[in-house]
Amino acid sequence: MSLGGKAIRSGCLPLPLALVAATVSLALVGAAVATADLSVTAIDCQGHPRKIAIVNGGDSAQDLTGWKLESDQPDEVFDLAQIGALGPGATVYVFNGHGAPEAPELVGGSWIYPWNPGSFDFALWEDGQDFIQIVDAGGNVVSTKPCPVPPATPTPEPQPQPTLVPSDTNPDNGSNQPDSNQADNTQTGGGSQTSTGSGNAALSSAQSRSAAGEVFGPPAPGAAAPLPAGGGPPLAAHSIPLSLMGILAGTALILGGVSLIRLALRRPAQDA
Amino acid sequence: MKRIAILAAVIGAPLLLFAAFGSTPFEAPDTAEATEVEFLYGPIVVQAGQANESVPAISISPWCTNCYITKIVPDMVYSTVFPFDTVGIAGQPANYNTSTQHGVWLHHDVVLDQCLRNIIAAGNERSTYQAQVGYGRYVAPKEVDSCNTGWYLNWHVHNSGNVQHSVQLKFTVTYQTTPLTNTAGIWLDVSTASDAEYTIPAGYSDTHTGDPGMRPDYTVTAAQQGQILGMGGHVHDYGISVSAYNMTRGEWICTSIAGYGSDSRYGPTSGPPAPDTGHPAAANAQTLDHDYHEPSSPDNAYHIQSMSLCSGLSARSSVVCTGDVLRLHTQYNNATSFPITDAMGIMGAYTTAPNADGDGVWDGCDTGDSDGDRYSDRVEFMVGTQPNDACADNSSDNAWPADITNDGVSDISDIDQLSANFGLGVPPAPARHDIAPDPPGAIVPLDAVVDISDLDSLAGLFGMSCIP
Repeated sequence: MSLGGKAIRSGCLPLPLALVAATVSLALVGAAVATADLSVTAIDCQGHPRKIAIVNGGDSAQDLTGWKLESDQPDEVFDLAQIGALGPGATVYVFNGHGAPEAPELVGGSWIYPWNPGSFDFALWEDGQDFIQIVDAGGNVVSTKPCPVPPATPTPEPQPQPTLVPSDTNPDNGSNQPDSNQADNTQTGGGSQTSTGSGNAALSSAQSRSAAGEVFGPPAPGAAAPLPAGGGPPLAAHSIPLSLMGILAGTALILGGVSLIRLALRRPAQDA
Repeated sequence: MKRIAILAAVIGAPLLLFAAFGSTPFEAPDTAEATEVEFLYGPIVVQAGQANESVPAISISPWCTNCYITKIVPDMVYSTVFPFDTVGIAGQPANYNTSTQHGVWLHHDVVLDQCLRNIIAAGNERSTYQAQVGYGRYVAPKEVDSCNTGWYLNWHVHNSGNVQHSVQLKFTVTYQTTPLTNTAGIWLDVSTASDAEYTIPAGYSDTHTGDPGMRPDYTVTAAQQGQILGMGGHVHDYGISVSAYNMTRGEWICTSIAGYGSDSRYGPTSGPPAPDTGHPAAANAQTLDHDYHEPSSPDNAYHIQSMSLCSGLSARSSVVCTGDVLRLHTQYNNATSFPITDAMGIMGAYTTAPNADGDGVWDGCDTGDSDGDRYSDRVEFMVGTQPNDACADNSSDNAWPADITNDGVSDISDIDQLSANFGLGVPPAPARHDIAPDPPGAIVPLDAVVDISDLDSLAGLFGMSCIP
């Protein structure tokens, strides 16, 4: 104790002044550490929507002007400035793509901000490489979180190939089922009735079919053919057999029709 | 005899030559027999990792007209028409099915009539609508009810797998034209959104109709008042239950509890201790149905696979009268780190409304006394006696509330019966012993207790007999 007292005195400052100086110094140090501390605390790279949780773990609010969220592609950027400022201890969520709200939504005291709501062009994927990072106004990366590594994909199962059967030659039977299904498909109410709301083209997410087979909504690419929902694998593999079958069926019809006409023309002569 | 007819909804591409035959509107066969028909809609193609939503809904024809629908089994199957699914077997149920190559699941589908009255709605649990024996939902011809000029179908199908899928929505419908007792529907929804979705926070939540931002509490209309015969609900993953409470009568009507496979990661951990029957503390643990195993095998991603249904409700809890206010309570315990934006809390009920005196007021809500036995029709409904029969024909013919023994006389034997349960609530005491009070102007008769009011009622009729 005495040594300490001497040391203080030897510093040429009376004790009260030294205490004041120390207090001021501590206050200054305290002010220096009272900073915001933003980080990505949770990430969902698989769900609809993709989800990002950002927490300000610091003890002061952070103005987010000029701040961004960035993913692995140059165009995958979310402007955090729209959030304004994030208070100390506060959480904000950014939901990306299909399933995200259309407008900011307050839930349980925290805001959810949408990032490209409705789009299936998600910013995050469980591909072992994707990530999200917070970049401040100075371009510094302040927090990064990688997407989880996807679970190992099992060996693909052998895929049964669908069998297309030739056209049903009975025009009253308005269906074209594989043989395995035809055994179960008993028509009722007579002939060609089918349940409505159906058609001969696939119903894509942007296109629906009315009871009368009328297509409404935005036209899908390649409208007459069965369409996948979102530009998926092309149906080229089916187009050749389909074309061939169409040609064969058409030829058969034409030949059959010609034969019937000829037969009809001959009969009166034979009868005569 | 039941006839089974399967109506294929779609003509495959090779039959484009005959496409005109596919647009013939379906008309129900004019049969009095129970008929079962399968309706298939699609194909619906869903890319890997994407979803397919019908916006707007498509138009369909009513499944039958001038008929009574008694059963609807909703399902989603791999497409039976082109384009076929490359993984699933045509016509078989499409679901998560454990494999990464499956993973297509039914977020929901809904069938509505033209007036937007619900015919059926289903989530991935695919609950069956089954009317009780003798009842059915009448579908009037469009000339009588313009709401049946056309129906709507909308859907939301997800594909969590890694390959494209092609599916059809399937409804197996049983109906008949032989007259049945008609039922009406009540549709309750927490959310105000057209897709019935709302957002829940992380952790436990109990969301109600009437909460800020949610749909107002539901007021029963004159067309809906009656006895609730059956009711069921719908929630999503992490959901515990959805329940309906009659605020006017102070009665829980039905609590529909979610079911999950064992060790499901989506099964909610227990909520707070259950304060009442409308807030069960936990979901139902069930044997895992592998159809509900998400394609991230072998982890424990077992999605919600069932919702419990309510039927055989007590008379007291089944009554809904015009103006009654109903509230939904929807419990979730969201174990993720994020809010969930597509939570749902929905219940559907169907009611029937017999009317003994033909005055247009259902007996359970009728303060009049159709048979003149000094007990109102609404009391007789809750007691379990017949509103249009004042006198027992035999010992099992519950006709007159004051004649508990059904011997045609209100006497000491009836007082003895009632006294045995004096002071007890109903239940455990039988509803037959709670016959009073029924003050004029009261919204709800009876007090669910066997007490002095019931003894007074018997005493007032002591020694009187009825004539069959």
